[in-house]
Amino acid sequence: MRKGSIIISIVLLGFSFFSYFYIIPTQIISSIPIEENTPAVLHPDFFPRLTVFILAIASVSLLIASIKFKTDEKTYGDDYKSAISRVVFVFFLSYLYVISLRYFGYSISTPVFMAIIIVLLGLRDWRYVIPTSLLFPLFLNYFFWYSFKVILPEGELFLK
Amino acid sequence: MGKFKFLLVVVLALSLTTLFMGLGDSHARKFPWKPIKVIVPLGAGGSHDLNTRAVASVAYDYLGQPMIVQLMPGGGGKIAMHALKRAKNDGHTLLMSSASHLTIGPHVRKMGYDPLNDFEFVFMFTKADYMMAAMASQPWKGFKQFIAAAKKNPGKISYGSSGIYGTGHLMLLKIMADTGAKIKHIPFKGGGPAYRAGLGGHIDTFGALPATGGTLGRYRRGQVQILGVCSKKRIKMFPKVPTMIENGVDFVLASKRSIIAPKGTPKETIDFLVSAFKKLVKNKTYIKLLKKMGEKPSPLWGPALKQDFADEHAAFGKILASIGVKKK
Amino acid sequence: MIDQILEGVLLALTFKAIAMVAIGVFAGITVGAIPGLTGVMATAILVPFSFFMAPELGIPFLLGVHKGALFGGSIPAILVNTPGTPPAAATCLDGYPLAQKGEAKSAIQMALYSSTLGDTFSDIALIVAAIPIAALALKFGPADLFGLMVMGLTVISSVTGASVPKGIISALLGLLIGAVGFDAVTGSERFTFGYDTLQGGIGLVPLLIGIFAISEVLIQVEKKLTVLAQKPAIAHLKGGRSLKMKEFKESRRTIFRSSIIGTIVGAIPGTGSSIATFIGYGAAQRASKKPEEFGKGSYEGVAAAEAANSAVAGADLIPTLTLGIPGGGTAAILMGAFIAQGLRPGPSLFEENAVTMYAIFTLLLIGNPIMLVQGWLLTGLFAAVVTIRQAILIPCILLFCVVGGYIYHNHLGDVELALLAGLFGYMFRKLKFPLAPLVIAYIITPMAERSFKQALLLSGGDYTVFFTRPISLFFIILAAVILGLSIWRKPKVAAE
Repeated sequence: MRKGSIIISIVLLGFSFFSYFYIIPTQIISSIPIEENTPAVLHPDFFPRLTVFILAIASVSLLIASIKFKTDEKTYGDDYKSAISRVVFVFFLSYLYVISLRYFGYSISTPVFMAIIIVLLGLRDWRYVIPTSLLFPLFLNYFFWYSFKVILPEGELFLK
Repeated sequence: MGKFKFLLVVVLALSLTTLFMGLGDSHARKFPWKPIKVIVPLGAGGSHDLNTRAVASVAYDYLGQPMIVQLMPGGGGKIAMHALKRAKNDGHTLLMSSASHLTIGPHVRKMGYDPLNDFEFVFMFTKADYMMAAMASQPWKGFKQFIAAAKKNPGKISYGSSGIYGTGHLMLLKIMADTGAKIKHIPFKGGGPAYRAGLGGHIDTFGALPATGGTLGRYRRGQVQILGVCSKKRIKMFPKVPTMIENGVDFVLASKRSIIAPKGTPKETIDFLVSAFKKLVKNKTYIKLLKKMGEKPSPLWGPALKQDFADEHAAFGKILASIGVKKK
Repeated sequence: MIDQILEGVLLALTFKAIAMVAIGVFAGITVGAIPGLTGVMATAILVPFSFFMAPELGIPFLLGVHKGALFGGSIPAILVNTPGTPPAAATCLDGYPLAQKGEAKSAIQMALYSSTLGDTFSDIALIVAAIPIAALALKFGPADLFGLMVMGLTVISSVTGASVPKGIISALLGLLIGAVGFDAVTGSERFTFGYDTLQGGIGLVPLLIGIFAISEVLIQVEKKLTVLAQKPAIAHLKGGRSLKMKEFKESRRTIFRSSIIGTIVGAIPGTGSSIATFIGYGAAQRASKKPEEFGKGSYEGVAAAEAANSAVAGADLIPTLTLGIPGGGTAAILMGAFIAQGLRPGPSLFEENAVTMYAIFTLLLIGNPIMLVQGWLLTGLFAAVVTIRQAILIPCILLFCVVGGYIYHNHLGDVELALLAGLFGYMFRKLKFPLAPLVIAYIITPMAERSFKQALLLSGGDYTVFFTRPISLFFIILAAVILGLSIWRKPKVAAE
């Protein structure tokens, strides 16, 4: 954990500099010229700049603290083994799912997504996979429609 | 259980869901053949939302299909406008517009749509005339004295608006331009907080609508004074209140609720909607609901409606250009 | 007066009226338990139904929804680390660790009891002291709101966790996230990077779903496959035991304190239950005999959060009914419903419609035991969620997150935002950064910045306004005292 803290504090320090000198000047856009005699505090970039400045100080103090004190913390129990690839996969699958919601809509995308995730998580028993990936999404769709008149994404391919 | 069975799940899932999608897509259909979706570009519970729901609550009898209200307040309403622009122009997706997304926003920011040419203007249901209010306890009474006081102490008297570049802010800009008075502008987040700060005596003047927050009651009890109403003629509810035009400020502003549709929606469909809505605004339940909100229908449609939007668009553009607003 | 009260009570005590409240509470709990569906949205959707009912039926129905939703939000917060409504984010902090220990049932019961008590407290405050409280709330100008927000920010000092620099960094990142969107005073766009979704700021619901729920999903999928596909190790507990009298008794003072905080903050228009909840939570931790348990599964923590957020239910009606100024989002809609029923909120409401109002108040109070009974009956059922295999539960939670992020504003961009927030939260938690400071800073910043700038605009750039106005001065001194105390007490806590 100590090494992690050192890395993260350096990353945060870099982020502070990057924000201060690049993101804040380029990503705060005023469509109306701000009056000249406006005090600096009222400018839109005042608070972000202040925040980033303190962030830089905090990162340095985290860096010092993590070099000075050895605080090894055991993170997780035996249930976990490092499975970063699975985390990345689930994340990207979810992202793909959201994109497919835009084009194919809820009714088609959801069961496929659910089935893949369930199987990925190690459950291959039909009695569970089918109801969860088919009936649950269907139930949700009807529930939202009948009780709240909420329309879940219909898919742009089918709307045009 | 291997890959084969997994694939089978996918195929099964796909085929079953397409079944539920409803494949019946016959050609000779009479509008409307499915529920009509009305997008509201503002948040839940606002007067815009409640107005739309009042329409939707009786719409079935006139349209033959239910009307579904879909709230899309994200991105300052821009997301809703784009959703409408992208929607299929068959009349099943409509939008209950408010002025700021069509007549102000495009002057201030890049919106990615042409407010007057990307949409069809269908029907206006109601409008609420904008008013300028102040507490009755102020030393000045009425608009003339207010302006005189503001000129005497430039930048000391404050006005709380519903937000920067909101409709209320435009009113202030126009007042300052036409009278030469200098008034301090305090932007709030929404009309409610500004109104509250006004009643609490934290700001001197503020915007109000006839119906909201018990304005009428406070006015009658002598707690609040109304400096002017931004309508062409004096309004019935406040017969003694002068219009802004009478005050020497050429400014007309109302919070309007108009249905607009994507460009290219067939003329027959629009005609159908207009004739249905014309009957709808005479519905007793609808009128009763509006009356309870302190409003009444003021229907407008066809070229007159579009002209109304075009006029407002031009007028606001002029005000904003005069203070140097540039799109970036 | 007494006749009117009696008449009102009799009007309320009909089977139909009580049934409407019960249906409302049930609908509210359901809605609250669904992430993304907030109480505001649900009441907005249900308002048209109430138009067609008599006032003493329609209004209590909506009030039931309002009440139920505030409790309902705690259920997924405790069970699966997903705040059902934004204020339940504070409930996640202690409720979820309890559920992981196999004490889901007792945690939900704690939430239920403290919710009901907080709600009852603020209902009584509404009935007894509405008019003076409302007059006080109106005195809050921009400078005073800023003072209140400063005091709110000091809460962060008590939830920083083990590493102070990490807690501060987390809060600073929350400040930056809160700055996204339009600047209130100049109208400038900040950090939108050209994306429409970011123009209105990063939505509260997508952010909370992301950093609490999606990050939890990502952490869970790291487990061994055999663990995921089998029944969970705590399944034999069947969601756990009932709450012990002793645990409840230990939290009595916390519930009382949070109820007062929730009532006061809730009565100030525009502050909202999220802020009230975190102030209540921070105060409880500071006053607690076991502050080190907070964040690791403290019943007191659950009680503090839930009592404060439910105490807003009655309190935000105070300015709504007495002044005609809504105290919050849901209250704004309720006000619309009152007006639609011909009950025009304002000082004259009680004179003109005394009988109806007493009937509504009676039903407001009756709603509390109804919620208690319903919650009691449902708790066991809900708690059984922890016995579900994770390979099934995880995809369902993920689906809820996606659907919840979508229905918030009917916008898929928000779902993408929630996913990114989830990845961010995952890394954040892996690196042992506390989430609470980030959420608090994010919730408080926009309001703090806006009030600060408004106050300065009004004073013409004079900074002394924050010290010359009594309310603002009071909160700033209070904030200084709290900060001083936490610095003075910190070493002691660590030593224990």
